[in-house]
Amino acid sequence: MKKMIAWKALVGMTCVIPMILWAAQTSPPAGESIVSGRPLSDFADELETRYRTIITYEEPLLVNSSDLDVTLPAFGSKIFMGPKMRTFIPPAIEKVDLPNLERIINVYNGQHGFPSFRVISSGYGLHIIPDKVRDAQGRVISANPLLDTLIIVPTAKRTPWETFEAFCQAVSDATGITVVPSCPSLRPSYDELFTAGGNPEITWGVESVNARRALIDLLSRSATTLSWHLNYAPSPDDQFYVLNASPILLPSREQVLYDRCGDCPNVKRPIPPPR
Amino acid sequence: MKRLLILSVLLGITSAPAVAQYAYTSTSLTQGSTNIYASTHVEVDYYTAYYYYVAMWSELDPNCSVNGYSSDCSTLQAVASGWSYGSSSASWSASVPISATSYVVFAVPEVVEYHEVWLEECYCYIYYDPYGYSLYGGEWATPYFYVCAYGPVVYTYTNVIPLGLAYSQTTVCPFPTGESSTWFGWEPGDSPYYMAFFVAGLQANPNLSFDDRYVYEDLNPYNPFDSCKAAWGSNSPFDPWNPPAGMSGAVVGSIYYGYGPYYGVYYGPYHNGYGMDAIGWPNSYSASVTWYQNQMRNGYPVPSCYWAAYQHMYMNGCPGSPQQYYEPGHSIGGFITSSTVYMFRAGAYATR
Repeated sequence: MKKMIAWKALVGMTCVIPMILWAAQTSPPAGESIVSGRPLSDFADELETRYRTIITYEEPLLVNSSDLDVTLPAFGSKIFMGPKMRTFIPPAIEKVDLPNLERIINVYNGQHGFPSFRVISSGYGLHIIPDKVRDAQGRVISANPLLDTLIIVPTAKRTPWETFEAFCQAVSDATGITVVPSCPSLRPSYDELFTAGGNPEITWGVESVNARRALIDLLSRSATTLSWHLNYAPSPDDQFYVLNASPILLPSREQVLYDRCGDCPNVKRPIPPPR
Repeated sequence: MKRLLILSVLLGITSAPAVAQYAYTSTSLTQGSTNIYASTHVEVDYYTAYYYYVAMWSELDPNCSVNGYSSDCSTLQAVASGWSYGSSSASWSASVPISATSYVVFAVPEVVEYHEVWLEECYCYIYYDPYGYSLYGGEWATPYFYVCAYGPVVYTYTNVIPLGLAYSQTTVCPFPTGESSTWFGWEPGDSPYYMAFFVAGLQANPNLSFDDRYVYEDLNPYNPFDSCKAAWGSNSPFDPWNPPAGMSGAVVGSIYYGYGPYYGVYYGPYHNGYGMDAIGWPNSYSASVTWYQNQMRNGYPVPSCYWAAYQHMYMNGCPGSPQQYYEPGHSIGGFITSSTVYMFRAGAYATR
């Protein structure tokens, strides 16, 4: 009974706290400073929302202590490490395209040095990828983006999520670094986002293809535009990457759903509520 | 003369008045209640009196035959009665809570005519005055005038005629008063699966049926919140969860209904159910739950975290504009501790 009361007290907290803390999750507009362990990623999200343009983000392996924040555990012996907090003041831009994003990245690199980033473009969108990084001894080396690795994914019929898992497993196998797949959409599910109620399985595979190109090829088959963040978890006892695939968010934080689906007869679109 | 009068009545000269009567109902629907107006109106061609009786009945089962008093599924709400004279109307109105008591409301005015005919009887002498004037009184209108020997004597003729029932009906569109949740189970599969299924139901008078109506959710204007990401910030490699798209579905009443091809969950029958609401972290996001729990076991940085949102519930009219029937809405969400995952929806809970 006491346990239930405690739960209910926690539930009650949800009525008050969300509105207070919400501001901490929103990204500031251009011209205002962003303080974050991944300020470039946060700003890319802001641009994605504002311009409905895919801007993906990939993080380098962070091994130099100057690039990491260390937190000692309250108990136990595991040290927690995260990307170093940085402040980024992005320049104002009129539109999002390759030159403008390159200008943003140059400003970022000028403010922070290393790790540095660069931008490439594809038919799918713009991609912020790591350029140079410091190794453990402080030497500046090429970042060797994880998704530049050639991968093999056996062709098979799988659900979209199983296919995404297979892709991450292939990158893990090729690089030796665990890549965990993740999709933060609670509803619709990843499979629903991908198929829009159509065929629940897809047949897909690649043979010795650049992982980024393979990922673009895979996500291009989705009924919903999916962007990605490849984030690194650098704690000594728990080092891995998370490949977050997510729909673009509107300013209201609603997900843009089924936008790549010209005719989705099976999708159950929610009726917009009266405003 | 008296015999002539009786004869004239029989011939219809002073027959029962022509009386027309009708009834109607109207409703003004507002959130939570409806204002119902019922009226009976009687028109007569001369002075009379009538008794009116207006009854308002609500019928909770739309399949019942609407036949007034004898219907077992009808409930008398109120009556209005009294005498009225001449051409007039009698009306009655009331506010009825639409969600709890009414589906079909109809007015049954019963008008009973009770009219009186006043006749004057007298014995008169008729005179002729070529100058148009009489010393004995009387009238100037004609050269003829009369003088009553006695009287007049008033005879009252009364007649009670039940005019029967007039009937009108109006349909009130009911809305639920709230939401109910029943935990059904977890997403099939081995742990870690953190998606809990709740059967979403509608709270209302059990006699009400919302079959074929359409329910949908809306998370606005309240912003959902991910306290896990807020606590860890950019130290978490996982993106914050995106607000879920609102669920929607038709009220299916008493048929078995599956949530969808991805979960393979089927349930039912449920009265006034409209779907299975999946609350929690799907398999595609469960790695984050495991990671947060691992961090909590090391005491970093908080012992628990949660996500929460408020759902506003809407239902379409019948027909008519959708209305929000659950204000301010119910909360959905989930908690993570180092060892437990806990989901909730509209007062129902699930722990894993």
